[in-house]
Amino acid sequence: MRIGIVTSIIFLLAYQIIAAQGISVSPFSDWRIQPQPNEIVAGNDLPGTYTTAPDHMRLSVELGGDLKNNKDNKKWEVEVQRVDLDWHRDLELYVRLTGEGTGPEKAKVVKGGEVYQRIERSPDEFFKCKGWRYDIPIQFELRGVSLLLPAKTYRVEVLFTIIDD
Amino acid sequence: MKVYFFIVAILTPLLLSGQIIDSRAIDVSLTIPQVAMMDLLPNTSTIELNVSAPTRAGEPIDMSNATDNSKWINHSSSLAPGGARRNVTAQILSGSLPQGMKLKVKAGNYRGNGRGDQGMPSQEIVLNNMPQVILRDIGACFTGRGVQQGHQLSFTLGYDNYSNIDFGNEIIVIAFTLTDN
Repeated sequence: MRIGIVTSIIFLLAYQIIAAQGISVSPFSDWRIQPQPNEIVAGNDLPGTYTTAPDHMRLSVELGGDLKNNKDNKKWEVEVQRVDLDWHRDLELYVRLTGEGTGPEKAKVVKGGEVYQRIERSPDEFFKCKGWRYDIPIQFELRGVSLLLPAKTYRVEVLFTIIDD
Repeated sequence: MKVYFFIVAILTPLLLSGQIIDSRAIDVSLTIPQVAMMDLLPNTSTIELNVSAPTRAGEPIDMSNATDNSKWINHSSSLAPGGARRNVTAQILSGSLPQGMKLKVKAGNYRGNGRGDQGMPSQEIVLNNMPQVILRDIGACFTGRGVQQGHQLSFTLGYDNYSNIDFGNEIIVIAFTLTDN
């Protein structure tokens, strides 16, 4: 019995090690918005909305061991949430997918993500996929920017979490 | 033992289902700059205030063309937390009025499609070489852009001392400044 338990633990650890389980994001995915005073015309407000390039961030996910079935069919989902470091309640951050990325032929984005979704402080489902996917393009939008906000730097962290579906 | 091993082997992937596997975070930051910008609309072109000599003996000089309401102050302002609010001052920068004349200016109440604390007009002032407040207590705001947006300026030429009036053609430059309080 003891041997069985030890073997099982070894198996479990081996599974964890062998299984490729990871999410990666492209470099330079941080987003810094710094309107310059010379961009403002007297009498006007700042542009209320700022948007990144459609592929500002590219997300890649490999889930499960290096097996064809995992590469084609392993189901997973991504949750998104924000962690306020120094944020303002009038600022709204949105995220959406602008493509499906690349990967094995049968792998694909199954559901969601194509319309802007407001990022909340609690985790929300962003989109679902099956199979391994690479370079899924993601776009961000920030709304509510105004000179009426106190002049300082606001910071937030956006957390993407992959869930085995 | 084999049965136990088999059960674990089957259950392990199932146990991982629905679990958080990995996460990544990115930083997003926004810097609102300190802004203090002002402009005169529709332009900063010269305004003309004319005083005509009386046409009949005993009548006063004609001041009917000695006013102008064509200029509007537009401004945008953002403040650091706890930062000082702002004023708009006016002063004669160069030139001088014909003798016996005085030039008054007053900013009107705010009008337009802006938001925030656009400031309160002060009483009408008589312009001189010293800066005087015509708008006070400006907070974080924007007035909107163009005429009919912001604060309308009313210039009025009057006589200071009728007996000293000396007609002439003088050009003066008036400076409007948005300053920290």
